[in-house]
Amino acid sequence: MNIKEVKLSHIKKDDRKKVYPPSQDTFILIDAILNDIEYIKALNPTIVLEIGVGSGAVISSLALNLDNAFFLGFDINIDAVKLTQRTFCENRIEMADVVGIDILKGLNLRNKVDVVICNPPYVTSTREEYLECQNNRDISSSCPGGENGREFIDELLRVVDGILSENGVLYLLYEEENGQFGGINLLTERTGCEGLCVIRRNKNNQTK
Amino acid sequence: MRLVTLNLLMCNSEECSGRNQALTLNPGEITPGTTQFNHDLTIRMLGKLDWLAFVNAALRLGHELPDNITEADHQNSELIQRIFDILFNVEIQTGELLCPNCNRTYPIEKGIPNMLPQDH
Repeated sequence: MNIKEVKLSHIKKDDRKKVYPPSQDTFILIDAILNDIEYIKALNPTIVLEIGVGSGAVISSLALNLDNAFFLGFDINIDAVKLTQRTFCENRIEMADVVGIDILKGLNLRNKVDVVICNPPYVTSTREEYLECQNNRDISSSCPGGENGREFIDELLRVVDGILSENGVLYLLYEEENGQFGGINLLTERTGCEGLCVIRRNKNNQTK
Repeated sequence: MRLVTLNLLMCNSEECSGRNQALTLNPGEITPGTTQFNHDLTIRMLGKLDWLAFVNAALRLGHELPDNITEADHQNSELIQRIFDILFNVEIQTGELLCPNCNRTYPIEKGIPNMLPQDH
């Protein structure tokens, strides 16, 4: 199948100082999602949401390869939101909007979202560092994940189970040492990177 | 930002927590979008919209829509095209979102709504 590749050449040095740039984990998540594209197409999703868009590389990669859906990107770093808008523009992605918002502060999306994507802050840190960096709402918010690197992920899973539609799925990247979150592991030895996991998980972690 | 996105947001102030409070759009600059009509996506999106909030938002931009949509309306391609254009082809470049409950406002600049706390 013909996979379209996202263009990222507009992302410059100045952007990299303010926004988590496309990195190894970004590309691992993109590959895992695009390897699963037939599953996503079969879901016929209406709303695709990425929580923490960063540069917009992941959501744009899916948007380029999936028609008939509306794409929504959220980030708490307003520079990431602006960069993602440019990434949409550079890749001629029209069916997409991006919003500066903290997902833990409430969303009007109950049971509405068909696909959620997230590359969360998963690096183990102290709880204080995690909370402080989330509060900074800048590039520093993209790494520290608190105790075992899973404080953000645990909060995310609570939010996501509320907003996923009945057949909705979450694509989540994390590190082995964060623990286990159910779902189906999408990485093979060939596509993977030591220590990283990408899962596809149903609403409320039901097995279907 | 398009009206479809407005319909998916709500006030996130402490005071409005748990209320699912829809936001009112005070539009500034509006530009027309060029997204190609998609009948199937419009019908599926109808199932997810807060229709009355959408009707009210559309009215503020000068577009009148019926108070409710029935299954039979799904075959009315002229109406569905109009709904698509209002949902996806009205680009709100500047303006603000106002919460009618707590009066908090959220700015829209260069097409981006900013619902983050404005304390720094």
